[in-house]
Amino acid sequence: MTITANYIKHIEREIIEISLNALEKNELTEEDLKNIAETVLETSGKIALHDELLTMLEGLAVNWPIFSNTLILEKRKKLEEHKGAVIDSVLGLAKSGQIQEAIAVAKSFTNTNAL
Amino acid sequence: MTTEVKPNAEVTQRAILETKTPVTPAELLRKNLVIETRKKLDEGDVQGALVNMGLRHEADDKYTGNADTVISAQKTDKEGNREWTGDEKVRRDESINAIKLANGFVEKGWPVDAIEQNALIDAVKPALATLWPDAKAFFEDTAISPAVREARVKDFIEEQLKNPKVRELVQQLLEQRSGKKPPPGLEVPMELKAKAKEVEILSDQNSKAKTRVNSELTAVNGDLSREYGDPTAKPPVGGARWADLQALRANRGKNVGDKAAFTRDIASKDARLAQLLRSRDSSGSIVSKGSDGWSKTDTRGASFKVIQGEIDALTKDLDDPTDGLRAKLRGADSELAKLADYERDLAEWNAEKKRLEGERQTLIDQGNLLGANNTLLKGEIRDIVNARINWEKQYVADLQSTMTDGFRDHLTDQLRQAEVAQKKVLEEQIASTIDPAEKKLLEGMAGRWDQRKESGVFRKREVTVANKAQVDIDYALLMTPPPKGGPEIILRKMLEATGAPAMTTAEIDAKLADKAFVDKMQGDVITKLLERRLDTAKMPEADLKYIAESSWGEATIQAALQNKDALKKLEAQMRELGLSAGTMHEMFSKKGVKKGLLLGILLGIITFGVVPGIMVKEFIKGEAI
Repeated sequence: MTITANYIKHIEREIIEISLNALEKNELTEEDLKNIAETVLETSGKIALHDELLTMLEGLAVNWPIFSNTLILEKRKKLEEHKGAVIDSVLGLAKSGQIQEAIAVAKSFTNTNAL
Repeated sequence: MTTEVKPNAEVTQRAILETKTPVTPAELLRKNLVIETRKKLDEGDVQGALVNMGLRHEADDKYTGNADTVISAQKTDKEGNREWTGDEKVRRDESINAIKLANGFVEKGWPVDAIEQNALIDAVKPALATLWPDAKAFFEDTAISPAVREARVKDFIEEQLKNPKVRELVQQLLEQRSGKKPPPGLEVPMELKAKAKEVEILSDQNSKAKTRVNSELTAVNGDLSREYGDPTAKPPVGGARWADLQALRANRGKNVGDKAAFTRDIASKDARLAQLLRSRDSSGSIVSKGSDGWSKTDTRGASFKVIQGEIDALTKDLDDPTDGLRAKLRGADSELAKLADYERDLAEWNAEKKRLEGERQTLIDQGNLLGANNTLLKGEIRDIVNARINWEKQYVADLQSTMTDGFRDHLTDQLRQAEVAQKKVLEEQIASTIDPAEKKLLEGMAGRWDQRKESGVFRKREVTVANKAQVDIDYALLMTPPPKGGPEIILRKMLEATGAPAMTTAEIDAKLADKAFVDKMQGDVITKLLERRLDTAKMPEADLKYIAESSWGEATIQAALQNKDALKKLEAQMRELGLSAGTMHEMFSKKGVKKGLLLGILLGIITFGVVPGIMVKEFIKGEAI
């Protein structure tokens, strides 16, 4: 799934806000902020797919757990998108009488939804 | 009514006492980081915000010393953070910058960056100008463009600042000055601040109470004026009730009299009426009414009619709505009651007016008292704040002159070292010579053109500096062509000078006729005089040229060339410049050499230990002077 530049900007903004709040609460240091900024500046420009965004967020959350919530939310969004696509596909197959195929697609979703 | 001017001093004082302590430089930087980054976000510049977030915002206390905490901010914001006024901020920034400049020099020495170099040069220039005006004169006294002249000054300063000793001196000064803290008496005591705040609150309340009283007084005056006018005005100005009041007051006596008379009449007539009614009723129990109202057949009808007639007349007298006694009594009563109302209102308003005027006066007195207290407290605080400001200004000035003072101390040390070395040589010479004339000249060289002076900032030293008055006299004499002037006259003056051993004119004449003696002494004496001249004033190119090309100039140059220490320094400098020492020696012996410049270089190196590199290069190239 591709994402827009505006969406990336929205995520960047969220990362900055989280970082500044954490700095104010002494949960992060200036050095942390510098590293976070470097990470985001280096990677965000190259992001075109939602998966790439998730990779960046995973990288951040590993080092600074304050970004875990953002990561979880983004994963859920991806899951919702996927779910929508599966439902469309199952319905399409069912309508055309391909019931077994429809069941297989639905199963594949339930097997992979533990993202 | 009383004015509510209760001070909430306890709360105020607590609020002040709970004011937060000053934030540290690290906290300031952190706050700045957050503010600046958020500002970028608000502007929609997310990339800019990320870049700002990634910049290094390190609080390096050693670069700011304690300037952040030493410079006071007399105000705080609602959160208790210090709020610097313009002047306070300037002092803070200036002190931080001064510390940074000096600390940068202590840590890195002579910087690579041209801007930093210029900052250091600007910082130490004042030392050159004050301690060695001669040096300034020397550098300016050339036919070279200002740009090159500046380069020479820079060369000289750079050479000095590269000496690690300057760094040591600056470091000592910096540690001593940047660590200073204001004496305890320069803090405004919290109690004083709280008291001033309390007076301020009371003054505010007083002011509000005055406004309220004035407003109430205006309302009462309005009522009075509207209803009663201004009876004190001439002629009196009437209000709505004024004419009524005058009339009621005028009628009061009549009304009181009438009321009494009416009351009496009514009582009398009521009594009579009652009597008549009783008579009529007792005689009229058998009465029956006829067409005229009463039976004509009644034997008592005639007397009854008489009684009834009187009753009717009395009833009319008493109860006629217009002329009846009761109506008249009501009229008199009503006027008297109205008068009483008017008088009561007037009295109440006047009483209220008086009360409010009294209250106003009390508030004015209170206000004056508070004002006087306020002036006293503010004055006391201002004195402390001003003393603090003066201390801070001195703190900043000391920090700003750290580089200059370190440099000056270094130059003073150098002067002293050179002086000690020179003195030692001269003392040895004086001790070893047996010729009284030679001894006298050497002693003259050791003291004739010198005077003692205290110098140095951090390390006070008594140094020998040129005696400008004597140097000027002798230099003018030297530059005067013979027979009135010239080196021989200088030698004669020195031999004639008071002090042991005393010499007769004949002895002096004999000595000056001794060519070997003159050749031996003249070069050193004149070189010494020229050194001192260079210490005190400009030595223009024309003078150098005149000396170098005069019959005695060669001897002076040769004498200067004998100064091995100076030559050693010159050779070292030449090596630094990438010029071989051999080349310099060769140049000395070349024919047609620019002797003026050569003399300038030699004197400069003897006097200052270094000459501008560009001057040496020019000499080697043979392109200048």
